Amino acid sequence: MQLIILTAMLMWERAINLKSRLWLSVLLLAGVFVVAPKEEMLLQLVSCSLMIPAIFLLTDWNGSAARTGLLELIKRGDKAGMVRIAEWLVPSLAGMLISSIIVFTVSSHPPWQFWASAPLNAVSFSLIFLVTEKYLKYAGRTLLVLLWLFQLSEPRPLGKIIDILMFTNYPAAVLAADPASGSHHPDSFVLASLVTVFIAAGAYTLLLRRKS
Amino acid sequence: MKQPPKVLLKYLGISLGKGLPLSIDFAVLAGAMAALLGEKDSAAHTLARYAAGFSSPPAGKVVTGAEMALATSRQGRSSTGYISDTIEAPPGMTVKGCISLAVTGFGKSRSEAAHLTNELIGWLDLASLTGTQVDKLESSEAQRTSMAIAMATNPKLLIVECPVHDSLHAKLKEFSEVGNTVLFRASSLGQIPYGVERIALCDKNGICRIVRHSELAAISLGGAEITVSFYPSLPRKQLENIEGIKNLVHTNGLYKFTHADTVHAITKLMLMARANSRAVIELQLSPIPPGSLLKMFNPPDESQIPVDLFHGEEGF
Repeated sequence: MQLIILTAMLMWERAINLKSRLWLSVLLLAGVFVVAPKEEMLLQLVSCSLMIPAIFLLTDWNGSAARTGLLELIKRGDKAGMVRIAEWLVPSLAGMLISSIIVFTVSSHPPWQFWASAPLNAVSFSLIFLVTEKYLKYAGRTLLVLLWLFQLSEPRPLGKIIDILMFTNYPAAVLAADPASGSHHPDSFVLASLVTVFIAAGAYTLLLRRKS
Repeated sequence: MKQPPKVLLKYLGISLGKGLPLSIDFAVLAGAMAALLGEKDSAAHTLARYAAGFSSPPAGKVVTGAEMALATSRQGRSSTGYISDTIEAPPGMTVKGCISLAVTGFGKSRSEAAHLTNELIGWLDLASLTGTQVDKLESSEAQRTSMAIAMATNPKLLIVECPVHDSLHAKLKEFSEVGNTVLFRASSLGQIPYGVERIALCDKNGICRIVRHSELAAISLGGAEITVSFYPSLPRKQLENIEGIKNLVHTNGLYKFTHADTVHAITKLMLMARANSRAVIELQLSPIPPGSLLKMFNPPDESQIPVDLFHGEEGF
């Protein structure tokens, strides 16, 4: 637990001291207000809030002196895994906390599917972002912005298929789902979140844990 | 019944690359101190890093600890500590913070970690530095802090990058006397602390000879690397006539060679200069580098290469 808290503190200290890294978070947030249709703006803000902490804390974290130094000090012990757990757990918890606050401004009774899919989504995004930061860096960030803008823009080609593939959209989609109007049932997003988290965890374990 | 001494480090069938010759196998017993001696471009540094578990050799294996686990495995790494004068730590972290973190990383509870941290600080005289940031430490202080960090996992084997500050000699000796092992990585004979029994001489391909400290000291005692130039220049053949001359190199009128008896070599040089009406215009003496030390032994003879892992080790 001490190591998780220490890792969170180091991530936070590094993030606030590198204000230039804020641009990505601001860009995603600005996208919601500029690109998203007005009726979806608050819903997309919920989705965005799940991702912002991961982007804020994890951008450039992988090669940072704080992470390298921390792992260097504890690598001979058997608790180095706690740092790696903290790397996806802390941004996920922070994202969940912020989105939980925002969701009550959107809906006084969010559906149970939201509480199931949002944490899974936060974890998936943190894991995927960790992997892209390790292997793609700037290309990964650019791809993320493009996907996010594509998700926000209306009308989307192949709308129903894209809705179920764009995992960053699940929290908003769950809140907006209305099976009577022909959209997906909210349960399908819970299932999709579950699948995504398995894929993300698999990719993370294969590509990141195995090599570090 | 008397138990045989444990082995805490073994280099087995190491090769540093495809097609390169194998390094001599080498093992170090518990309670002993040994050294890898080689110049900067030799394999000594790489071999030390293999033992510390930073990487694995392309061929062969390095096993450490009482369980003889691979050096890079979790078990191998937890039985090994690495000491150098540079510490990688999160920016702004203090000496106490680093030690405490290393202890916590070993799975100690908060109270145990605090107790062990204070013990290590006391043992290594770091009390006055607890609040100092590690990136502001002097070399000797960083080395002591590095040792405290290494000791956090209660290792059986310590890999130490030389030169070692005087304040650490006694602590390392104390560490080995209780049945642990210390392996130094040095780039000159003078860097190896007192108490090291065996020295593995390294070239670019790995360990090429294992000698006792006393044996090496006897060969190099009174010896030096001598650089000399004459005006007008003297033919090389004249210098080759000096008895005991080794590693003679002639570049741009400058002769460089090693000799086991410095006084004898200089007397001969002066006499030679006078006899040939030459003036000695440059004369420099320096310690014999490890590469030349190797050549000071008799020419390699297959039958003389030690096949015993514990060549020169007391108790076997």
